Amino acid sequence: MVFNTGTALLDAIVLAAVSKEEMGTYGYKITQDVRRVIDISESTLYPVLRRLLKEDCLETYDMAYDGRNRRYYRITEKGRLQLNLYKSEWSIYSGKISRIFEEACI
Amino acid sequence: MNGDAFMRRVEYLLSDLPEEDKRDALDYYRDYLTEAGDRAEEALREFGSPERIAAIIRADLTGNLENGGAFTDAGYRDDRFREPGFQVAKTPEKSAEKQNRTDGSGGERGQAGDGANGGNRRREETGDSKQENVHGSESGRHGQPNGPCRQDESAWGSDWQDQNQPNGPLQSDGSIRGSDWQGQNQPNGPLQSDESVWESNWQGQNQPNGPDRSGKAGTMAWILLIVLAVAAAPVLLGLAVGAVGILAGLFGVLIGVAVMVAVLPLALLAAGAAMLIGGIAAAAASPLNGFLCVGIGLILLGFGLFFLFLALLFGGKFLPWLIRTLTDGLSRLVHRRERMA
Repeated sequence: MVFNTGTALLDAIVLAAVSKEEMGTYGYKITQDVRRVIDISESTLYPVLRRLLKEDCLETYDMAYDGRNRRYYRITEKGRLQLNLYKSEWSIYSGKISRIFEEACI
Repeated sequence: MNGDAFMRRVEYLLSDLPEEDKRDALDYYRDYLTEAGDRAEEALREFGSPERIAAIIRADLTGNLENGGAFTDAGYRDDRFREPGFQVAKTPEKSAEKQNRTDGSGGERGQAGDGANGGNRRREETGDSKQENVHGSESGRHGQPNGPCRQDESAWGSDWQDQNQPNGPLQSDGSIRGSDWQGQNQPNGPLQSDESVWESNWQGQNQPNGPDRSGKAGTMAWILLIVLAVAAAPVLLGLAVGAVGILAGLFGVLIGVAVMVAVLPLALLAAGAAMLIGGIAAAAASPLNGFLCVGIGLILLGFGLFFLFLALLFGGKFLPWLIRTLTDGLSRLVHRRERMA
């Protein structure tokens, strides 16, 4: 079980959010996308993004936008593998939990 | 506090960290606020205080951030950075971190029941944190003015020293007394040389302290005297005025009595004489009225003579006696010691 800590689940969520954007996305947008689903603080994601960069799950590139540089995050091949692992782990885990709940007598 | 000031404060708080890592983090949060645009205020509120953001960055760079957060259906949060009183940067030790983690999970479990309320509650918390932030910056601003205040104090201290310098004459009094003391001791010297040496040593040791102490005591005594005089002035003035008033009153009574004694017989005699002359003159026209007037005039003359006698007695005997006893009493007071001797 990889989701024994909040960190792993958060990594998986961020990876999923970034993977949706083929050309990559930027910090503020990632935060807002995640916040649409789960409540996270506006200051939460920088350490997560930094960690994922360090693990080569994400890569960055700078692109001019509105007269300044905007840092874009894009998922790497390693990141996709990792995300795939998370997805399968999650489906196993949530499936087990769901089965227990479904079998429960209320 | 606007975004720029906020980030400058964060940068200041991280000034000891490696430039590259710090630049990266600061750029991220700066860009975040820029992207937020109209929402920048809200984002800043959720950032909390610059201290909180600095603590997160620091914990991340020093590797203390791993495995700190917790997930619930209310969202993800790292309770170590929950304001007020986020702790991770203050106590980077592993044990403290573990404690925080267990506390955090407990807190999360408690929150899990709230579900939908979680968002609202977080808003409240961030609101609180902003207040704290404002307070913090204020205290920082308060801290700076303390510098000049201390300088003022030191300036005041030097003034005080300057004020003490005019006390020199008083200190010299002390030293004069000291020299007298030495003079008195000198005759003893020849008797026992050892003792005199010891005494001179003792005096030598005391001399530096002696004048200072007597000088301070002198100034203190003077100050006390002045304060006492100022405080007692109304009472003393009242007593003095009262004594003068009593003396003046006695003197007035004496003058009044003297005038009475002198004037009354004269007035009686004059009135008696007038009645006598008037009565004699009127006796021709109406004998009864004339005789009555002559009678009253004679009675008045009699009383006048009686009071004249009293006045002569008063002026010739009583006044001299009074003056004599008064002068005697005064001379006795003044010359008591001479008489005693």
